[in-house]
Amino acid sequence: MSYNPFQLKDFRDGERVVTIVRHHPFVLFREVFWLGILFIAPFFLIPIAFGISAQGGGLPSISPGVVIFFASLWTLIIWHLLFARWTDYYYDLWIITNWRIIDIDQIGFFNRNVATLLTLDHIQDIETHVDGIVGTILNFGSIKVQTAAAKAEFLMSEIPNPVGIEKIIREAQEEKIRVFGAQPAIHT
Amino acid sequence: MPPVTTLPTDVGMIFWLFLAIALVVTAYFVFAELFHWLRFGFMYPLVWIAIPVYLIGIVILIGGMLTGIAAL
Repeated sequence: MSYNPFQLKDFRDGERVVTIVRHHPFVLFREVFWLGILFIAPFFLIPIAFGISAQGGGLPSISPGVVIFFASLWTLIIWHLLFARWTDYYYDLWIITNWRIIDIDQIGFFNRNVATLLTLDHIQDIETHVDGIVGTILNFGSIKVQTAAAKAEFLMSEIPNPVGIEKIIREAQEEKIRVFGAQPAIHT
Repeated sequence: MPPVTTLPTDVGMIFWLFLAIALVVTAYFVFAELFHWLRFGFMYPLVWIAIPVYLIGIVILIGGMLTGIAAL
């Protein structure tokens, strides 16, 4: 029995996990950045609003208790959203084995989709794309795989080092032929 | 016809209402997060760090809200 660290269904003898691919950390950073903007916005906007509405006589005094209460409330909301986004990022991944590619898609809290995208001998062509300034500097992009399976192509988007991942998929494909032979894959 | 309800005379009641809503929302998030983290923790090791950080943060922030009410 093969070592199955992710308790994947239909894990066969001789199958091994070659690598795990997640979105680039920049994807998480981008979401955390906007949450950060959302977090600090009221701390600037509310004093400005009070300043505008105060007519000549200076800022109205607010009890420190009110400030502490609402600051804690707002931080609590952002805290929940932050961990929700992190969970979404961390749970969303592709597992490349020497037999197949599995997509685990976490959408919100209670929507989790685990699917074998294809077995490796269905791959016809792999394209990599690195787009934009940020993608080029941080070396992340997407991989589009053309397949001979019923689903004609699939996309791994915003992943780090797409050229390196393409190489790993190619090597896994060769390993599949070595380990399992070149017989056509049978979906189970 | 008598009034259905009246505004609370103590303005502090509003803060308790906000706190109650925040606790309900927090209960939902904590349940959802812990459900996923504990269920799939074997394949996502970072959740074992995230759990205490998340829960300690919640305790501190709810404590902050209670401190705010106490300081009114």
